[in-house]
Amino acid sequence: MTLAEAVKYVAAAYAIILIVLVAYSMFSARRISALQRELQVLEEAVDKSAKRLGGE
Amino acid sequence: MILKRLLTAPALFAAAGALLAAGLLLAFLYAPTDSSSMGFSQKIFYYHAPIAECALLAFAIAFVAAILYLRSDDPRYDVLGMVAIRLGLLFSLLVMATGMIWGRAAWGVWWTWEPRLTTFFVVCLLYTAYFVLRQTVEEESRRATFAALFAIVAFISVPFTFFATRLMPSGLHPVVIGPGGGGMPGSDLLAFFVSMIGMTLLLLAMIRQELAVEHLKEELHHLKNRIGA
Repeated sequence: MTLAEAVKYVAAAYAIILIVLVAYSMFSARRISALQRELQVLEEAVDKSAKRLGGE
Repeated sequence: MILKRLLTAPALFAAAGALLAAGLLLAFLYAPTDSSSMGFSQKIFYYHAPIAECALLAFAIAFVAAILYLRSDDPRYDVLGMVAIRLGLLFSLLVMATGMIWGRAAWGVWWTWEPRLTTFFVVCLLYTAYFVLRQTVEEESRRATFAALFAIVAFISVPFTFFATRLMPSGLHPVVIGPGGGGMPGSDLLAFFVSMIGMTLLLLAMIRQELAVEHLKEELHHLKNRIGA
């Protein structure tokens, strides 16, 4: 195998590792922000109902 | 508390990133190019082998978590086991992909049924079945018990994979660490160990992050149940 061919295989292997790890990081970050948004909505709902109960 | 946990993961990610970058630099700039038939394609080894070790380490963590769950009935160990196996499978996917590329470059084939590849393939199938099992059991504590038992039984395949090259030497997969330091010169070993530590830290960071996410999901679930959302 020539050096140029070997370089292609090595680059492909490291590219796959990079792509998978970056995809995982993006997926994980999206999941965290979605959960945080959901938590915020619930906290606001709890605050509203607490205020309503306090007013009655 | 949850935010605190999430904040510790980035520190681990940063340390892992620095070490992995250093490992890559050492592999390409310091370690000599392999003089055997593998040639430059041997450079794949510096991430491929640490990823493989980390996949097996993740399955070992799941094995310990399974034992701890069966002893304590603490659901946190069930979550740890599930997260470890999920990441073990992710790392296994990377091992298979990079291994196939390396196999094509070094041996001229994408796949061969030699002991290490075959046993690793079996490990992947077994741990994929773990998630099928989890899907089939509804009740939480029964699901966790079955999953723990499965993780313990499945782990029997892991030492076979690790020692496959020693027990059944095929000549294709070399023994990296063995009596007398294995077949690598010092400069190769340095790049390998730096990458190995970096990859292990990456696995730990990912486990921490996944645990924090699972904890957050559980908190949300309880909160929803409490307010009837």
